[in-house]
Amino acid sequence: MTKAPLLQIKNLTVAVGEKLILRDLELTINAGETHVLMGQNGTGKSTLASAIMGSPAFDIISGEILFEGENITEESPDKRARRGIFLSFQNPEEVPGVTLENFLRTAKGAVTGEKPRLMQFKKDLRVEMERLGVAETYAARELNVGFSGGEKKKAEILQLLTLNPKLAILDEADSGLDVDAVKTVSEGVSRFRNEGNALLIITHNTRLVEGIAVDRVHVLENKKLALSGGAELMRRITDSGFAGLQTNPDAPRGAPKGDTQ
Amino acid sequence: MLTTLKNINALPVRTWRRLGVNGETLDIEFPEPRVFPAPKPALPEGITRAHESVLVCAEFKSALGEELSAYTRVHANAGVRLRALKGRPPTEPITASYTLTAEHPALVDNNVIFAEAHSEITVVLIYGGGAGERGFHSGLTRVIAENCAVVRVVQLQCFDAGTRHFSDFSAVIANGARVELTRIELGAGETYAGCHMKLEGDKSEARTDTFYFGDGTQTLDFNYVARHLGRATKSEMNAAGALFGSCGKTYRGTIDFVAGAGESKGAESENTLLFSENSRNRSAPVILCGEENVEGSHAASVGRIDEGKLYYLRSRGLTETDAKRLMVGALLESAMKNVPESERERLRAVLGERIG
Repeated sequence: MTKAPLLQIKNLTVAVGEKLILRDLELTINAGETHVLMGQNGTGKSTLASAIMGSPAFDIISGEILFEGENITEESPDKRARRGIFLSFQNPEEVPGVTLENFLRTAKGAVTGEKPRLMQFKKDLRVEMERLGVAETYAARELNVGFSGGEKKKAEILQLLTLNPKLAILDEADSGLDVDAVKTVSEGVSRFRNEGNALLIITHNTRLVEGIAVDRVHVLENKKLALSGGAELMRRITDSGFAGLQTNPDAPRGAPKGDTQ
Repeated sequence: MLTTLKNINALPVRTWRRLGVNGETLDIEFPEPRVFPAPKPALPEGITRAHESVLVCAEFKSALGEELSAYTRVHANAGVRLRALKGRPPTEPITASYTLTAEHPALVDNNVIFAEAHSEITVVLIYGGGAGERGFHSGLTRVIAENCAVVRVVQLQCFDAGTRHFSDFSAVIANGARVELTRIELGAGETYAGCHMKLEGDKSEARTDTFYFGDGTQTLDFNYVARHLGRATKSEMNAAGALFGSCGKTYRGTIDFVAGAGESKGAESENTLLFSENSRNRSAPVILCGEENVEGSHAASVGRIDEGKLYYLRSRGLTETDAKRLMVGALLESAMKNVPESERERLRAVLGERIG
């Protein structure tokens, strides 16, 4: 029996209030794959990420989101997270009073169903923080409160590595980072990646994915995936920009027929 | 007989009436206090029983209200009276626990703590139970901390929702001494709590940590005063809590630098999470300066929990209730520094149940 794709999006139409953001979007991601989602500002990349995660800020007008073959379109974000979906936020929320360590331990307990043992958790956390270049003192700091943009992004990757989801969606995990920080985050993402999980990386540039084997690249335009292809598509975009692609949302190109998923 | 009490939790300096923080007027039917069954706590070495007369050498001020304070002194049916002996090392916390029942619905406890010079004492007062609308508590705790003494008082309140709860605390603090008050207010239908710290001696210190949780139609009303008289004194008042339902909370925090209290520092902070549009929050931080060479600061964070924060926490696997528990629980944790480990889990569970 064929295993269901990890994520399958069918004819997804998403709106905020009266405004349509995505229309009849289709996307399939299998375990072991890394997908990159690109597109100009305001084309709906973050909306797609939020819709997959179940943000209440967006309305699903029609279509379905399936995860491991099960329809999760109506599910709450916490249920989706417990299934193994993770979103690294572009602008992570500040949560006063809740320390990073306490939050991570609570979240780990929530997604695994068992709160991790304190000492072992602390030890593992310290190791990962050191690898990411996050000072140990941040564990006791309030979640994202007073963090710089780069620190917030690293904290998101720390959460990714701690929660170890099946599907990680990284929404501009590299924005606002200096070259060294991008390298550190990229290494963290590489550590996460294995044959059993998958990545959907939303980015404007290729630095973050330089050390990561990319399977598929998609360009979001006019409310849907206008173009899909292999890693070479990313290079074309880097060289020529989106304007040079001459995409047509009604006739996806740049990939074999039926390849735009 | 119905008595009308004026100036409950009165702000030391009155402000605009329309702000509604000057103080409360309450109609109270004082119960006939009967002997309250409460086991006397065992006293460790270095602690003896004190007589109320040890307090005559100090002048106490009530932040809750003198009238109520007088009632509690006269009609007390319970309380601890403790004297920490000079120069003795710190002991284990002394715990007194009171439970309201239908048979004993009214508790009026008058507590006296006298810490001789260079002594250290921690007292934990635990309040719980209830008797429907007949539930009544009025507590008064007066503290004298002689030179370089350290006194910690922890009050943990989990009364049933029908209970009317008054709590008054007053301390007189000598040179180099330190008094800390921790209040965890998790129950009762109405809570009126006052605290007056008189920093009389040079380099004396006071600290309060308060956590409150309100839901339904609860009333929470606080009045905290740190009066700096000695030189180089230091006060810190921290309050945090969460409001659900249509409850109302008023918090007054006054740092009063009296002339002669040079080089003193006072800081107050409040962090309130509002989970309901119907809850009402009032905060009145006041800093009075009768002395120039002082540092006073206040910080208040009052915010409604927005969907964005809840979504963020839920995206990490926490249910909506778990997310609220995490946020409110964090505030509780920050107030529990002096709470014995043995009580912490119970308080976490009580809070968790109330949020759930």
